Amino acid sequence: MRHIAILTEARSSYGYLRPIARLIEADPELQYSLIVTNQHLLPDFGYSVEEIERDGLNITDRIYMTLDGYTPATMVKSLGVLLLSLGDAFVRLQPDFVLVLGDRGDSLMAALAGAHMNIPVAHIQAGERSGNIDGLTRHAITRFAHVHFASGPDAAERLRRMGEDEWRIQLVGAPQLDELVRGDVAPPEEIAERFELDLTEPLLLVVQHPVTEEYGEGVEQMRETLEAVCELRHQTVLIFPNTDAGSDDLRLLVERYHRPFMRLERNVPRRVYGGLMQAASALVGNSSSGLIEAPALNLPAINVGERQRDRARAPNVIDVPHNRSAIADAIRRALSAEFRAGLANGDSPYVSDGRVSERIVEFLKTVPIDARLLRKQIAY
Amino acid sequence: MERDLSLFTVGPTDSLRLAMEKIDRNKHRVVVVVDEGRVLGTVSDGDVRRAYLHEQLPITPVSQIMQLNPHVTTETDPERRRAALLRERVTVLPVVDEDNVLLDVELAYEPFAD
Repeated sequence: MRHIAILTEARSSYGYLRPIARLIEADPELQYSLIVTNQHLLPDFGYSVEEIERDGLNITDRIYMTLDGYTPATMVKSLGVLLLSLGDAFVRLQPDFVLVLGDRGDSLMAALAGAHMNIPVAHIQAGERSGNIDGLTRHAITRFAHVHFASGPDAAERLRRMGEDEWRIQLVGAPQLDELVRGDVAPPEEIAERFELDLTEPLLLVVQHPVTEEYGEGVEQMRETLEAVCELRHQTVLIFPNTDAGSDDLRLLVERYHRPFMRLERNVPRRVYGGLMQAASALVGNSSSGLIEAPALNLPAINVGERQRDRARAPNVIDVPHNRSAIADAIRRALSAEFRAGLANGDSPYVSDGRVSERIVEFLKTVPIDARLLRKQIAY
Repeated sequence: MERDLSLFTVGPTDSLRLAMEKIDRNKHRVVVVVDEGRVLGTVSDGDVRRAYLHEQLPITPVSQIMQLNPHVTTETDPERRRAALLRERVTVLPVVDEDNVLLDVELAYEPFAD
């Protein structure tokens, strides 16, 4: 039986690992171990490990790693704690594959540990461009990964140019769109009731994270966004930022800006987040979901600042600098009927037919685990 | 009579222990988390209990576990305030101005005598 270790560090990634875990569970020739770490285990972020427990998934490891302080130095040390712990976890679990995704340092630690321990590493969302440290991390993971799952032809081409073997590059599509394409999200009535919203009125969804390279500027950047939101006074659901350096100051600022027309959430389940995106009139901030998931829902996204600088985008994205009047103007434009009407269905660099997870699992199940897989050469 | 709000408020960096002490003394099961006069959230005895079950410590700051979207009222009329309190079914309803600055608390019950 092939045993796959899956790492998850936050709500945003868990949502699309879940269908993969379910498919593995349903296959008698496969088993998985879920290693839960970072944000999932922090009360500040809504303790989202509880969602995983409710889903009944097989959590084998809880790796507490996040040092308090939320500075660049604590980020580095936190990743070090994770790397140390993963060495022990992999010795104990003896997995046949390590599955990681995205462009976060947590995934890089798992890729590093796997590659050094002769465990093949598979990487979802390989080859995409993203800005800042995340972009560097994604391509660093590529170096240590033995299998690359690409979400679109553009990402696959980039992997080829990075010198990765053709057979290692699997163009499967974007798994985070599977649930959206299949409509597996919370319905509008549930969203309206849960957040006490009137869905006949415009609804803004705000998700803005600190940017590592702009450490120290996050609070002023967030202030510009909050000022724009406060000027417009539309009902707003704001989800707290991640644990990156500077996030604690951001959370305090958000709490101080709390007004009666706003809902603040530490964390929402993926299914609810999908429902919020479906119900929202516009997404504001710098979350990758504005670029990857939002086009599938024809949701306008006001993308603020540089965090998503290099990422491929669809016409739903309005790029703006950290400036309150520019943000407010962009929101007004996004809410206009003309803008929404101009968003064509399926016009996105990120593709899904609802079966991406199945292709990933099928490949993990069937690829021979041998010297060819484990001995990587950079061909280019 | 002006109500003494000190037993009904804590700051965001105050500890769960302090919150629990005030809840114990104010006898209304809830304290309001206030920063620079503004309401940030509320913490109930149930919130503290759940936090302990999640292995939080007495020194954990209340900001980590507070309810972020508490019901508040901007009503100035006493009867309307009362109605708002009953509608929301809470034991303590913070009364705020337009900027979310805490003015008073509306209480569901009179405190029990010691």
